[in-house]
Amino acid sequence: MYMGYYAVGVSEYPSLIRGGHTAYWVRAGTDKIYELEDHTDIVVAFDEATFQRHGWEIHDDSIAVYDPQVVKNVPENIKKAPIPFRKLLRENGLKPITMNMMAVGAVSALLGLPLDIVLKSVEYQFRGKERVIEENKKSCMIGYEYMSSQPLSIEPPRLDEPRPWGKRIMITGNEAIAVGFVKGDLRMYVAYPMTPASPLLHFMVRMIKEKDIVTIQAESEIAAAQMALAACWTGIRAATGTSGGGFALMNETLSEAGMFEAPLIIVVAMRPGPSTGMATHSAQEDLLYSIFAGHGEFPRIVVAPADQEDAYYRAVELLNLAWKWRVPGIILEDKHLAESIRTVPAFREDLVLEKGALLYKEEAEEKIRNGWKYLPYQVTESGVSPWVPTGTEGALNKSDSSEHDERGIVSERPHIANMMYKKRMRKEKYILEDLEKNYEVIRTYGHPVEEADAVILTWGSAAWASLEAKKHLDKEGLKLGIVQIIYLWPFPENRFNEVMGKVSGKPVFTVEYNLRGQLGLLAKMMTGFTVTDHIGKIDGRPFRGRQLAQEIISRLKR
Amino acid sequence: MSVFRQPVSDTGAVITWCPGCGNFGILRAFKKAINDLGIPPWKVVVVTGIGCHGKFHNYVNVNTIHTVHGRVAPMITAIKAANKELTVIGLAGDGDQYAIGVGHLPHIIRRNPDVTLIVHNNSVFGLTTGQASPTSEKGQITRTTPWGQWEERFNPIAFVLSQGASFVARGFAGDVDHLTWLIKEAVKHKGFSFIDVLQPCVTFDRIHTYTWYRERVYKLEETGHDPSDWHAAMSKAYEWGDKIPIGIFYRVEKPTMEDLLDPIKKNPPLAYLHLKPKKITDLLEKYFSLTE
Repeated sequence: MYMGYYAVGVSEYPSLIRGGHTAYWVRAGTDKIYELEDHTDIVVAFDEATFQRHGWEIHDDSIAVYDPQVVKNVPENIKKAPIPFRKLLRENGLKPITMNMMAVGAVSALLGLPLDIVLKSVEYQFRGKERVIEENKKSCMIGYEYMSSQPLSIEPPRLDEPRPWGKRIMITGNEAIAVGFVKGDLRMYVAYPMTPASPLLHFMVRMIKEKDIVTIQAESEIAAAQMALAACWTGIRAATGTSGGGFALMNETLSEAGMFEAPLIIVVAMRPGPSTGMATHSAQEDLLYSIFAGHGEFPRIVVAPADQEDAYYRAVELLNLAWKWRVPGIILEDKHLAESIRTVPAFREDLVLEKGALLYKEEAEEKIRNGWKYLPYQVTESGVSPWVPTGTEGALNKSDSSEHDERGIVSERPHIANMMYKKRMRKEKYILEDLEKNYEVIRTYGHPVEEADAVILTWGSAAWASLEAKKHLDKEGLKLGIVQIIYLWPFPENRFNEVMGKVSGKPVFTVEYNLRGQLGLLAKMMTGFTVTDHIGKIDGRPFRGRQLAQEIISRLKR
Repeated sequence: MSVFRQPVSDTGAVITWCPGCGNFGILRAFKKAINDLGIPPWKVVVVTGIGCHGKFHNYVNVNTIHTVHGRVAPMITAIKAANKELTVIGLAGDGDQYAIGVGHLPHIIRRNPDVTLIVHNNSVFGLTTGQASPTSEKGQITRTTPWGQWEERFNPIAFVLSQGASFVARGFAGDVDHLTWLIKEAVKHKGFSFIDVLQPCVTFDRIHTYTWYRERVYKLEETGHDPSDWHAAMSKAYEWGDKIPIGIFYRVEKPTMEDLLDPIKKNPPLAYLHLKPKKITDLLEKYFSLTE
C-alpha cells in the first residue's frame, strides 16, 4: 500500500483463542482488486494443516515458504523456498511470536520489495511499542536477508510498477463504519461483545479519549439497544452493533424505536446461522430478517454498504437519514466486509450533517417563548414531527411504547390509533421517494445490463466475487452485468424496475451468501420480478472470482 | 350501589388504577418530593416499565418514557449520560425489575449513575391479573400458584446491598410523608439510589394488605440504625415477617458514571451540543496507514 499497490487482506480463523489453524490472505496488484482468487502464488505454511486445507489453491507456479523441520508434508507440485524459522529465531534470541514478521521479510525478499518500505510497515504495525518494534524489525530483516541470500531455482512472481493514486488508507468495514460514526458526530456507542461486530466496539472504546464519544460495554444486547435508544431519545446520536443472535435480543427495542420514532442505529454484522452457527465466518442470511425484525409495522431504513470505502459514507448518510425521518436505521454488513482489509482512497472530511426535524435547545426555547406549543408526536403531512432535546425549557418529551396521542400520552381510541399509526407509516413512502431521488440506492458494474449475456443481482460483499468473475468471463467472451442493491429498505422498487427492465431476456442470477436467494425473494415480493436462478454459498467462506465464474458458466449451460 | 369515578391526573389522562391501589400513595409522594425539591418539570425524566406502575408516566407533567418490560435501568443510565443536567428517576415494578429485568440491577449499581430507581413492589403481577412475582410470599396463593408459591422470596434489599449500591432504602406506599422524604433523600444523593416500595395490591394480594404492613413496618431512623454501616444494613435486610424495617438502610458516596467517563465529565450536557462533523484525518493517520 505504501508503494502504491492495491491490496486486500482477508482472515479466516476458528472460534478459539490459542492454537488451531488460522489463515490470512493478501492479494496485491496494480489494478483494483475486488476479491481473492483461487490461485495462491506464495503460501507461507506454519503448520501441516496449511497444505491439507488450502492445497486446492495451489497451482503449478505456487511457491511454498516453510520451515522444513516443522512442515514435512509439502505437496510435490509446489515450488519450494524453505527457511529454517525456528533455527533462525533461536540463533538470534528472538521470541517465537516474531516468526510471522520473519515470514513477511522472507516473502518481501521473494517479491523483490524494498526492505526499507517493509520495515516501515512493521514500525507502523507496532507503533508506540519501541521494544516490540525493534524485535520484530530484526526478525523481519533476518527473514529478508536469509531469503535474499538463497540461490533459488524458481522465478517468483513480480508485481508491475505501481501507479500513483493519491491519498489512501487500509481499513476494514467495521473500522470504516466507526470512522463514519465519528464523522457523523455520534456521541454514544453501546454494545455487547459479539463476533464479528466486536472490533467496532474495540475501536469505539478508543474514541472515549480521542473523540469524546461515550462508549459503554453493556451487560447484554438488550441493555445495549435500550441504552442507545434512550440516548437518541434524549437528543444525541447513538448506535449499537451486534450479530444475528444479539440482534434477535434487540428486536423488541427496534420495535420500540419504531414506536418512539427514534433514530436508533444498529449495525448488524452477519455470520452464518441458525443460532450460534459458525461464529467467526461470513454469511448474508439476515437480509429479510433485518427488514422485517421487530413486531408490528413501522418504517426503518436498511443499508448494505458496497465495500469498506462505501461503509464510511453510508454510515454518515444513514445517521443523517435516520435523523431526518425520525426512524431507526440498520447497517447490514457481513463478516467478510466487517473484518477484511482493503486499500481505499482516504475518506473525505467535507461531509455535511443534517439534524433533520430536531430543534436545538435555544431554537426550541425561543419558539416556545413565542407561543409554540410543543407536541413530540405532532401529526404532519410527511409524518415527521419536530422534536427537541430533553431538558428544553417549557417542552416535555413524552414517549410511550403503547399507542399514544400527539403529546405522547397513552390512547387506545380508534381515531387516535388510526391517526398515529398512519402518521408513522406514511414516512415509508416519503423515505422511498427521498432515497430514489437523492441517493445512490442501486449500483451497476460491468457491462450494461441491456448488453449483458447474464446479469448478477447482488448486495454487500457478494458483489466483490461477482466483479472478479466478470474479469474471467470477459476472457470467455461472456458479458456480465452486475447490479448491487445498496439501500435494501424501503426497497427501491422504481429504480429496480428501471434498471432490471432493461434486461433483454437474458438470465438473471442472484449471488448471495445464503441458500434461499433472499434478495430475489425480496425483489419478487416488492416488484414481481423473478430471477432465473440463485447462486448461493453457505459454508462461511466467500466465493473466489474464478469459482463464481465457473458456477455462472455452468448455470448458463443448463 | 356506589359508582367509582376515576380520578383525572395533571396531564388530563384518567387514572386507571384500582381504587385504593398503592400506586396512588407513590404518585402523591413523588409529586410532593419533586415540588419540594423545586426542580422544573422539563428537567425531570421519569422512565417506567410495564405493569400497573407503568401507567405512572401518563399522570405526571414531566418528561417520560414508557419503555418495554424490565428495561428501566439501562434507559435511565443512558439518559443521564446523554444529559447529566437532568433529574432522572426510574419507576419499575417487582415483576419488571426483579423478574425480567433483574439482570440489569447489578450493572446499574456497578456504573453508579446519579439516578434514582423506585420499585413498586406489590408482590404480584397485577396488570396481567395476579400471577406470582419474585417477591410473592412462600405459600402465597396466586393465579399461577394455586397450591401456594413453592419458590423462595427474592430479597431486593439484600441483593442490591450485596452489589455495593450507594443508596439503599425501603418505603411503604401507605406512609406518604415518609416515602416523600425517602424520595427527596434519594434524588439528592449523588450516585445510584434504590428504593423498594412496599405496595399493597388491593385486588390480587390477600396477604400484603395495608393493615398487614402497618402492623409490621417500623422506621430505621427511629432505631438508631447507622446508614453508613454496611454490615448492620445487611442484617436489617434479612428482617422480614413480624417486623419489617423501612427507611434508609445504607448510604455511601462513590464516584459516579458522570465522574468516571470523560466525555460526560468534560463537556456540557451532550444533548445540548450542536451537531458538528468531527475531524477524522488524524484517525486515518494514526490507525489506517494514511499514505500520500
